[in-house]
Amino acid sequence: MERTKQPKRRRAERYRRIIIAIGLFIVLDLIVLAATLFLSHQILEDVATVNLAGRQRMLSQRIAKTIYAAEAEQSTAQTANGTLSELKAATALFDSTLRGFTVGGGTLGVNGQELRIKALEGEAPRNILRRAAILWTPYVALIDPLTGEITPAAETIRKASEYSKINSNKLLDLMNQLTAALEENVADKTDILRLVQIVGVVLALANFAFIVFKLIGRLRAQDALVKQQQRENAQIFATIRDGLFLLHPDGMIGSQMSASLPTVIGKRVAPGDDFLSVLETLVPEKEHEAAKEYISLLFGDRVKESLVASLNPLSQLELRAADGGGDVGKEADSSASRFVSLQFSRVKGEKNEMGVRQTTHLLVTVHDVSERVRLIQAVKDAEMRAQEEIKGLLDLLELEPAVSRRFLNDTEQSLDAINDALRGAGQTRDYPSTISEIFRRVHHLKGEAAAHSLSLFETLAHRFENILSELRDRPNLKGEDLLAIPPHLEDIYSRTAKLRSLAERMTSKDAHLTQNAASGHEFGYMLEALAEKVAINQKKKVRVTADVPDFGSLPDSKATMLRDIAIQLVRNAVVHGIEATNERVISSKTESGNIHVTLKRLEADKFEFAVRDDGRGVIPDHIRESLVKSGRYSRAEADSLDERTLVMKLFEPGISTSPTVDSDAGRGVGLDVVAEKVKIMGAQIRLGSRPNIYTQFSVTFSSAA
Amino acid sequence: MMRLLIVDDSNIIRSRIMRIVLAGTLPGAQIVGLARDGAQAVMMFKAHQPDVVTMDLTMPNMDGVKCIEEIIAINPDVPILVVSALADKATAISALRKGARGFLNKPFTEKQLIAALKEVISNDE
Repeated sequence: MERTKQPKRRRAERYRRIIIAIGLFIVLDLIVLAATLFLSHQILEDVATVNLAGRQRMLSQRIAKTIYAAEAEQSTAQTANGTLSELKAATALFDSTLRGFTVGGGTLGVNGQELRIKALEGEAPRNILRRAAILWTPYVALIDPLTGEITPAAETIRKASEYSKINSNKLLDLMNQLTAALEENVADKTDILRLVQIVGVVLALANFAFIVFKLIGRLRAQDALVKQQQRENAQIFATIRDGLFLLHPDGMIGSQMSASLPTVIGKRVAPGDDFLSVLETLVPEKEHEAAKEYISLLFGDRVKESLVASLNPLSQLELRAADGGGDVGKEADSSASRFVSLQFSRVKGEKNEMGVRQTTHLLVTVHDVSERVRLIQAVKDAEMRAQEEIKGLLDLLELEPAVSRRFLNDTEQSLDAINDALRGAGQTRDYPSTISEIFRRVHHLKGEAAAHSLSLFETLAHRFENILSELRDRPNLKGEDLLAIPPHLEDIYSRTAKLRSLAERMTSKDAHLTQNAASGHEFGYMLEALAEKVAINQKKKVRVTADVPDFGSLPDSKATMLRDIAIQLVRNAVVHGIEATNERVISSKTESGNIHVTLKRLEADKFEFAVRDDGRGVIPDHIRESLVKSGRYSRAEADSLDERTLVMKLFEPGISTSPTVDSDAGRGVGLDVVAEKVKIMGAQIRLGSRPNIYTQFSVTFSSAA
Repeated sequence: MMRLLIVDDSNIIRSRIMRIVLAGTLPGAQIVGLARDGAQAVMMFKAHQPDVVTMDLTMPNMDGVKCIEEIIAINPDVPILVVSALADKATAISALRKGARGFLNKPFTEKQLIAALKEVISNDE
């Protein structure tokens, strides 16, 4: 509060000086005006007095002249009344004027009107008047008898004439002196008036010059202050790292904005641009509409600003690298997105007639919040990873200890094999083969995980497959492309080790780990569970029957490989063999597809394992399409293949008849794995099929090592 | 004196708002109605003319946005606080465009609700 008062006081002090100067200017002008009026009035009065004094000169001469005329007329006995009347009037006028000069009083003016005159002041006029009175008093006494009678006596005229001849010129001289004295007085007052006017004008001009000087000084100081403020504002706007500008109610960006705004939002913008048009290029239409509504709400004064901030649709705006469009983007990884936060604050204007301060602008600040968003995402990822691991652990704990241990062992062996394949790729430089090898391993791992309902490993393997699929389809595969693989490998390694450690701590040390845990019953159950799971994913209905009583009697090596083959074949049957429910209904089949898994002992050590489904069968044309789609065969080459050759192509890597890629199919790896295992087992595989009736894979093998 | 109408289809939320409001932090606060959908809210509003309304957005019979529109048509000056989840910002903004004065995100704390109610009934800008 004190800080705000001080500048106000300083401002008041500066204005007071100017106001005082202007006041002085006015007072001075008034004084000069009053003095001028007063002196002018006095001068006018004095001029009138001078005129009266001048008339006295004339009257003194007229009195003498009429006396002489009366004397001459009397000598000729023709005294006229007109001469005496003129004498009487002149005498009365001279007398009243002289009395007025002496004591004040009324007389007739030079224009014949009644006039009040003041007694003259000053030593010189008074002295002249005294001397004039001495001459006039006897003079008027001699004249009075002449004017009172119709025919005055000759003696009376003669006495007056003699007195006049002696004193008339004296009286005239006195009146001349009086006139001169009065004229001198007028001249003095005129000089005073001129002086007053000159001094007044000089002082007024000086005061005016002072005011102008002060005002110019103030204007220059204010100009300097404004320039300094503009400089400081420009420095702030040039330095601040956030985007900052004022938004007008018509959606226009204000005249000043921070230099970093285009960089922060990745778009060229300039003062005066339409903000909503700029926004239109940054956000989807729905968000743009919401932003428009939100801004409109803030310009209205109904909603409470603090209670709508959470609805800001631009509080976390994702700017993809492409959004920058090469405009003004940061030099960043082109695949990385940036996040910015636009915050709006009301700027209030002066109070209106209702006493309410209305929103005139919105202050918009734009922050780069990429780091914060990334941290939040990292926390979410960590939480998801932890949840996945807990789920993975719980899934593992649901299995028989021997089964879970074997799964983990198998997984680690697969990962070791992948690692070896990667190392070997450096020497052979046959990268496509390496990718295919790794693909088979990962797909096998995924199948195992799915069969045991271990969703964590299934998910990890599926993510791994996404990378491998992308690498496999890449033309001119290079050694450095394989660098994308180790992080995934390491991820599965570390999670396997962690889950193994946790699972071993939580399971009893006395757990009975029998090698025969995977009994025929368990094997059948596993395949049923797998089929059910894949069917749910594929939105199909499937019923599995497993008749595998001799599975438990197989040696471990054969049992493991047969399990891998069974997993792929059952998955294959659900995905490719069994039709969608509506398709089956149209074909007059039951809604649920049927898969029958059998293991028959043909001889003492010879077995046949078969997976049969009652689905659509193998359709050669579908295989042809897949071959063309894979890019490995031209249309002509595919068309030239006979049905037997076509069927055999199913066992090649990268060939799949599935139109889409998901966790269950589409990679073209399943039967590739089967073919590899069959080869290792020294077994034979046959495929029997009739369109729309059935498909059966039969594997004949010996249990001997 | 603040006479409040609570509108929410969740019994839990209605009870929670009521408990917080009646706990004494808001002197003179009084609940004049608990409505579980928009239609019921409009009827209660006409009957009791409350000073302030808390409004959910997703409700059966009549949703919050429509309900706000009808209440504002009856009394344009009544302060309405939208109390809803932040799933759809566009709907919430639409509710404010219809005349609500503020928004409180679910879930909320006692302190947040009290502060929002005080803010929404204040005459400050």
